[in-house]
Formats: sequence, structure tokens, C-alpha cells
Amino acid sequence: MSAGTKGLSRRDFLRASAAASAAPVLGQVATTVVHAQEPVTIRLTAWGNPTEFTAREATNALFEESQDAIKIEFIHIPDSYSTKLQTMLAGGDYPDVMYIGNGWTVPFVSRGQLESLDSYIERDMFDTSDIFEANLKLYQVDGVQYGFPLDAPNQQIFYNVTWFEEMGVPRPSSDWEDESWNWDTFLEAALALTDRDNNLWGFQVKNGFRPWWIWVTANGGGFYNEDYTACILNEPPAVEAFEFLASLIHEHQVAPPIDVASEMGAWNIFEAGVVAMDTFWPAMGRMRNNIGDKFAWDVAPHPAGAAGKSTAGGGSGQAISAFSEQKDAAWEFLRFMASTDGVEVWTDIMGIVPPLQSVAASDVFLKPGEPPEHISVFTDGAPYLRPDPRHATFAQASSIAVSELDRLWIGQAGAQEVADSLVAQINDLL
Amino acid sequence: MAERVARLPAQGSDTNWLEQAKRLSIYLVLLAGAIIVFIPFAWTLSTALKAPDRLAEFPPRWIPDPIVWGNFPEAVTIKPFGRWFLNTLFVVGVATTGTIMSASLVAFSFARLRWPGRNLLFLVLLATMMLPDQVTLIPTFVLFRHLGWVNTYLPLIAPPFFARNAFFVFLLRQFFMTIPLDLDDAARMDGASFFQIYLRIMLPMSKPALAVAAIMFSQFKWKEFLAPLIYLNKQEMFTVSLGLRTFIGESWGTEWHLMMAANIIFMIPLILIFFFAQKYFIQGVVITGVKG
Repeated sequence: MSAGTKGLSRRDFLRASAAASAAPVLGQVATTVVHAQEPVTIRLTAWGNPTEFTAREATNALFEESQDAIKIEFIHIPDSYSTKLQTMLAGGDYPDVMYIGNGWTVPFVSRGQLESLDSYIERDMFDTSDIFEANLKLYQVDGVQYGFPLDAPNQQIFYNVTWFEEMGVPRPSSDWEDESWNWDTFLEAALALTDRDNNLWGFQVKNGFRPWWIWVTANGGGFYNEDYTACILNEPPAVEAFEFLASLIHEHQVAPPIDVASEMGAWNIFEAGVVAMDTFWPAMGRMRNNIGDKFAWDVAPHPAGAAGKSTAGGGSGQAISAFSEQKDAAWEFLRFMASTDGVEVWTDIMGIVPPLQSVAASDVFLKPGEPPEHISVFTDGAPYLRPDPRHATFAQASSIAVSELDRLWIGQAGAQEVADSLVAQINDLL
Repeated sequence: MAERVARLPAQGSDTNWLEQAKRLSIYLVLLAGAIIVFIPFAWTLSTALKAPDRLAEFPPRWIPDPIVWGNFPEAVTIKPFGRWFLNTLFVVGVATTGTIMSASLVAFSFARLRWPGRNLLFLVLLATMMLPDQVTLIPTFVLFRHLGWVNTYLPLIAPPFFARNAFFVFLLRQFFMTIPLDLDDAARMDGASFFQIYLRIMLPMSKPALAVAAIMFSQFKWKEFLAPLIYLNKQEMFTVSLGLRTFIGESWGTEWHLMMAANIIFMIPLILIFFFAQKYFIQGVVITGVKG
């Protein structure tokens, strides 16, 4: 007997009314439940060669295993990262999380492309005290946090221990406070290690920005003045540093000419045993693979200049797009990648300096028994980090400086002349 | 007379000798050119066979020791190159078909039909060749995003169906203009429509030019990098040119031995195309060089 054949009783009417009024609420609850079960997908853009790709896949998988609510769509951009990312952002196809170089923070923030993390940090009382302070600050603008570092690299001198021992040259001190390792003792060592007839060189002068920035800052020099109205690379501390580096190539001949080094593969000649000391970022994984047991190697800070010791670098990190529609989920991912679990996996696969002090003190990073013996040089060097200058013109300005300085490295012009020329061009930008 | 006859063979052998010397010098110059052109390829091959720790040996070794044949299987299995190869074949095949169909039709109109503004519009079309892709990158991206085409192959294969590449319209127009108009007149007398003239007369008579266009376009498409980079997000959708870049590390370092090994493998189709279609390549040079 159906309800339709019988008149609607008062009780049935009340039941129906209650059901009708409850339906939207129940529906909403049901929808919420369904939504809660349906994972949100966030889009992550990142660059990377096969090793970095493996590290990405591993950390993404670990994150997805750690919870059910968020999935990652990994947009791997193997080359021309900036071109694609900026096209996506300009074209309204916004990723949720972006892998960025620390130097991009200021320009991205000035274009309004990054989401402030402060409210999330405060809401979840997220503890950032374990992150190296110098590296955390690289993702701040005016005290606002916009990203977290994924590594904490700085550039140090990698040296061939076997070669030092064979030539009876004392190894450079790995103690940051030991100033007996200075420009004079460095030059002595480089002279003793060089054997030009056999194409063996004490050091390699690299023409990239950071490898000479270390020497400029160690000598008390800077890039811009305090209010960013002028470039100061033509002032004595910077010019002296340029002169010293050029003298290593031309006067003392302890470094191969830049063009010869470039022909030999400037990034590989240390691994090939052609130079005894080389400036490198902490690609320990790569060094361990490529050098193997060909020779023993270790790391030390660059020698102290007139203003003490210095290092350059900063690394890469992750930030949330200001236009993301899944900011909460993106935050969860950022948080995970700044956690011990995420950082340990990333460090283990990449062989880099982790951004967390606790992981940097653990065997995941220290890898006892494996080179370099003084791996703590990287972490101890954090206070000596002189990051890239943070100004919107820096990318263009550093490119001008690097290109102008080539005239010095190849012996076409003197340090002061080149410095004056590059400063004039950079000041035009300002 | 006898003297003259007696001298003839000597004169003949002189000419012969000169001819041979000339030919020899040409071959020597060509050989030197071939060696110079071959050096980068030889270095690619040498690097492809090196162990990773032997990449920067100095002085450089041309013949690696040890020779690591394993780089080849590793290079194509470390990443889904089989899939990327098929993706590239699909994109190249469809896009080339589209370009040949549309460019020939548009070229036919410019070459054989008279309509107001034809020359002006042809100039506008030629002007589009001067625009670098980077200039139109963002507006085009916005358009395709609104169409929902991002992360699909459509931005790579649909535009060729609309004569997107002005160069091939130009190439085919120049060729069509060399075919006598009498043929069109005769066909029209027999009642053929414009489309029938295009389909039944122009296309069959232009096979060499169409082959040249197809080969040149497929070669360009095989190597195309910017559009796949911008529009393809998922690794499984990558084309080979994009996939090869996965060996590059911006700061970590590039895995040169694997990249070179993969490069050599994916050069093979282009080399085969060149080998079998050399005649058309040369014709392409003639058509674009002389007629253009």
C-alpha cells in the first residue's frame, strides 16, 4: 500500500517537513563529507635533472602518503624555467607552489606574485627556529615571509687532498675563525701546487658572479651603496679583489686562462684533477659520484681578506603563488617540505646542505666515512654568507658586471678601467 | 696535319689531368668541410660513450677508455623516451599534414586567384614571418588557455591547419606561380571549379614542392622546443626535444654522457629522412634560394 493512496496523516506531514528542512543541512554535510574524501590537487612547478627529478618524486610521494586530502600535480620544467613560469603567470595559468631561486623573491614580490606565509605560520604556530636564519631571511621582504628554503648552500673551496699531500703543501684550515688562511697563504699554496708544464693549476678563477663576489666581500667591498642609488664595484675594496684574482691568471699564472678553463669544462676540471682548488657550491652528491676514488678531496672556506672570511650562495626554495586557489593545501605542502621528514629525503637524494639545523647535524647530511671530511664548513659558514644583493635591477646589473669583467680575465683591460665601465652601465639602470 | 694529330692526345691528356686536378681539389675542399662539420658529431659520439667521471679528462680523449655502451640503453630507459618518441611522431605527423593542406590551399589562392587586396594581404602574411615567437607567446598562451587547450597537443597541431606558418605559404605560392596558367584555363573550359583545379591540377603537379615543404616542416617540428615547453605540463606528454632537456641541471650539472647518447638515438630519424629524401632537400634549397 503506497502513501499516495492514503491521505497524508499529521504525523507523516511532520516527518516530511522535518525531512525537508533537514535535507539541505544533510546535503551540505554529505557534500562536505564527499569533498573531504575527494583529494584536492595542487600544482607544483619545478626544474630539475634526473637526480632532482627523483628527489621531487620521492618527496611528493612521501607527502601524499602522509595524508589523503592533497595530491600533487608535478609540472616538471626541464629547461627555460623562468620563460615558462612567467608565461603561465602572465597568462593566468597559476601554479599553486613554485620552486624559486632565492634571488627571485624580491622581483616576484614586487610583482605581487607571492603569497605571504605569515598568517599561516601564525595560525598553525609553525616553528621556523630550526631553519638556518640566514637562509630563511632570503625569502623575506620587509620582514614578511614569502617562502621556505629547500637547501642552504654556500660556495666554498673544494681542494684535492691527495695533490696537497704529494706536493707537501699544508692543507687549508677548515676553521672559519682561523685567519692564518688568508690571501697571502692562499697564493703561496697555489704557487706551490701549480705545474704549468703538466697542465696542473693551483686554483681556477671563475667568471660567474658568486665566485668573485666572495673575494669582493671578503675584502670589504659591496655591490650597491646603502640606499641603492649607485653601484660601488669601482671602489678600492672591490677593485683590489678583482686585481688579486686577475693576478692569479696573468701575473702569478696559478690559474688557467679563462678561455682555456672554459674549453676544458670549467665546472668539471676539478673533478678531472686539473686544478687543485676550486670554488663550488655544495654538490656533494655529484662530487662523490664523479670523483669516486680517483683522489681524496675536502672543503675549506675561502681565505680571509681585509674584512675577514666570506661566502656566497643562498640556494632555492618554495613559495605559494598569490593567485593560487588552493592556498591552504599549498601551505600544507610547503610545511611538509620544511619538516624533518621532507628535508631528510631531499638531502639524502640531492646530497646538498639541508635548510634545517637538526638535519644538518645528523648523519643524513654528515654521512660519516664519506668525503668531505670537513663537511661542517658549509653549516659553520652560515653566518659568513653574503647573499646576492637584493634589488630589482640585480639580475641585469650582475649580468653587465660578469660580461664586463671578462675583459679583465682575458687581459684586455685593467681592473679599475673595467670596474668604472661596469659601474657606469649599472648606474644607468638605477 | 700529322703534327696536329700527334699533339691531340697530348692535349687531351693535359685537359684530362687538369680536369682530374680540379676534381681532386674540389674533393679535398669538400673533405675538409666534411671533417669540420663532422667534428662536433664525433665529439657527441665520444661523449656518449664515456663514463661520467671521464667527461672532463684533459687532454681530452677522442676514443673513450673504457667505452661505455651502456649509456645508450640507460639514456633511453632512465626516462620514458619510447613514449616521447611516439608523442613526437604523432605531433609531427598531424602538424605536417595540416601545414601541407592549409598552406597549399592558401598559396593556391595567392598564386592563382584574383581578388581585391590579394597583394596587400600577402605582404601582411609575409610580415608575420618577421615576428619572433616570443613576441606573440603570452597572447597566444592566453588564447589557448581560454580554449582549454593547455596541457593538450592542440596548440601544437591545430594552428598548422590554419596555415600558421607563412613561410610554407610563400614557398608553395612561388612554386605554383611557375605552373602555366593555360592549364587552369583549359580545366575551366572543361567545367572545373577552383577547388577542382587546386585538387586535380595544382597538387599533382606540385608534388616535389609539397615534398620539400613536408620535409622542411617535419624537420622544424621534430626539433621544436618553445611550444612544447610552454603547453605541455605532464612528462608523459613531452616530445623528444623537451625530453632531452631533462638531462640538464641548472645548478646540479648536466648528465652530458646520457644526453649525448639520447641525442644520437633521436638524430637517427632525421638522418634517415635526409638520406632517403636528399633529392628533395636539394630541391628545397633551389626553390627557396632561386625562386624566392
